[in-house]
Amino acid sequence: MRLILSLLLAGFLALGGVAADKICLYFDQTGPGDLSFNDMALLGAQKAAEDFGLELFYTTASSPMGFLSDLSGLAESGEYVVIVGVGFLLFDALPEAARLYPEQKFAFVDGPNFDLPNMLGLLFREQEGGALAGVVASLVAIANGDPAVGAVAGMEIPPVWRYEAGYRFGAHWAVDWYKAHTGNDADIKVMVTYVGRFDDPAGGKVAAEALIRAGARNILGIAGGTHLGAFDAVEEAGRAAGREVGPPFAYGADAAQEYIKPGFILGSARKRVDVAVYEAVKWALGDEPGRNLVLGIKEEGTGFSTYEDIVTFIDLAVKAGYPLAGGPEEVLDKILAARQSVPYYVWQALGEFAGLLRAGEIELPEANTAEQIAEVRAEYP
Amino acid sequence: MRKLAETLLALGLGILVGALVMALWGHDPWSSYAYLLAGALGNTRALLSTISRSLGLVLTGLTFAVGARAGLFNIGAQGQMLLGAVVALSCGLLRLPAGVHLVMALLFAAIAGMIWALPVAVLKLTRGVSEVISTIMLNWVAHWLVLYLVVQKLSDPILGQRTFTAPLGMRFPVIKGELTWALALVLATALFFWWFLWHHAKGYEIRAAGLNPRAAAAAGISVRGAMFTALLLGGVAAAWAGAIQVLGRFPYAITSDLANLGSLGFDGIAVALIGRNHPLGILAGAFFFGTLATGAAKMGLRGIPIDMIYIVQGVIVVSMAAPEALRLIRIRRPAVALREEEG
Repeated sequence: MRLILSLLLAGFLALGGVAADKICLYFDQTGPGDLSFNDMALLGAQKAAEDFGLELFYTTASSPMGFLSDLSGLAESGEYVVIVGVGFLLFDALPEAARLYPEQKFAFVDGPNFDLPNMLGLLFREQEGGALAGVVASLVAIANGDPAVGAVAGMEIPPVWRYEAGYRFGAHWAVDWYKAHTGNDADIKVMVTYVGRFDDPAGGKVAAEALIRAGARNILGIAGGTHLGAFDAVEEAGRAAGREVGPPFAYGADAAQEYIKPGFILGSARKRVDVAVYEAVKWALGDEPGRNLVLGIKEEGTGFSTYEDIVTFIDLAVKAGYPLAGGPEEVLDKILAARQSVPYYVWQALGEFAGLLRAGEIELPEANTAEQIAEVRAEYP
Repeated sequence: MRKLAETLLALGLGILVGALVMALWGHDPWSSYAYLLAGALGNTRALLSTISRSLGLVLTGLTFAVGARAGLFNIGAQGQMLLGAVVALSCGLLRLPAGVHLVMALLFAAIAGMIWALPVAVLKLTRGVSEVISTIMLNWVAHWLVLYLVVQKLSDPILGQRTFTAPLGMRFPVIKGELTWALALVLATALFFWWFLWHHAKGYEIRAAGLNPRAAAAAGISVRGAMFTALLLGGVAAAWAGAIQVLGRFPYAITSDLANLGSLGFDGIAVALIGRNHPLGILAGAFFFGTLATGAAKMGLRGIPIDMIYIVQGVIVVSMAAPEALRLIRIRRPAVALREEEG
């Protein structure tokens, strides 16, 4: 009993000093280590912590059953300048916590601000990154004579739907582009498999294997940790065919993930979660009321991975102790070799599409509700 | 008294081993434990969260316990819990007056729980199929069935990540913070199980059948009848565990990965073992389990990775459940008894 009391006392003492000088990242699932979404959030927070002289703390929900009590506990400590909820699954608990603790500032990566004065919604135009990947995947598929392109998706939630909607649009845009520029006929189907989880690499692998068997040898991963398994499947299929460089090709999401399977990941649909989290800390230190911050290609918040992105993430992987398949130079060479292995016009089309997006001349379909994504699926099969 | 001492000793051992694990990986164990306790019990709000979190565990704990008392190893609570949740939520599609709506939802959930326990009982009592096998299989059938319903039929038209929420008139009223009057249902159910097992003839038969099926059969007790009752009662408790997640806990819905129902059914096994298959012990065991779960996030702030927290929780729970688990393994020979009863 005395031990428990003294433990409790120590706990209270440790929680005593109340001065908001820390950033808190609260992850909904799995947390850092996904080499993608969550790690980028951490990256942005680390940069903000350095730049603004704050301490950084982060923790991961042990179960969705505890979202609300976890967030309440964090808010009532009063230690945090901002509590950044990372992940769409916090859609119910985060606004509830923000209502319960109006003095605490919150930010929601992947979610809106619910018109709450103490919450910054951080949204992305995922369609843009998805569409850019769709253009590349589709043209590579046509060049290789494939009937389809594929995607391994996580859960049926709006951020993933937006990726899917863009991917479908981009794939079909590329077919039209190809027809107009070559006069040849082409047809590409888009096959998307939802695994239902973001932390199930084994499920992602099975899904990708099925897609490859069905002829979709360009596969976009939009499933967080789950699509790391899709990368494995793509690499294995390529090596089984005696290749060092695809096809088949995978495409990463959020981060520049090419280094994970160099030669077999042709590109990544970028979503700069790091930029969003950095902006959230900046907002929390100011006096502005809550609003939605929507990041798209114009704000450098979305895009298709560039040479600089690839180099940056190889560096990060080395620093994080990730076991690269060879030296950093070697990995970079392989990634570039993959990019050079596909017809030049693929990159030409990509540049054209990105230019049109930036200029606002292409309107991508919305996919914020189940009905909208159903329409998109019907229009871009 | 001896059992309590055993459990406390096991708790101490578990805490020490957990501390050792943390220390070996370079984390300060005692401040981590302090954070865990502060996170779970540090103030009224946290305490209410912890109690709310424990309620479902009490019910699934009772499911396992009543089975174990009858000499069964019933691990079907998970499937029955999932089904209870989805049936209770589906009642939200009906239009009923407040209060009546809640009672109906609980009633339908209870029926669903019994229906899901029925094949287990029938297979066991007529064909001698091990309840371990049939419940594992039915758990998966329930999992995919419920997942299908949640994603395809009950999902919120705007928020794809969860179902629609239970209408207000179907929810348990809030007491304070996260705690709702589901507390009353859980306490009443635990009380009923205690009364039934120790103060009712049928309950006595269940315990007799579990302690020594041959002797019970020789004394004219129907071992089959006892097992049948235990399985169906367990089904009701487990289904209610799921129902109160939807009717008595934020966000009053089921998430599309079923994660807000978690592994309540399986965790109930550990809770029952910690609580020595006694309703009172189960109340304490569930509260203990809820404490470990609710305090985890605060513990994570000490820089302890979530995986390490799972390890520490696991070590403590396993060591506390071990004494009863060993006892169960030693005394359990029901399959033999059933065959003998057949003649």
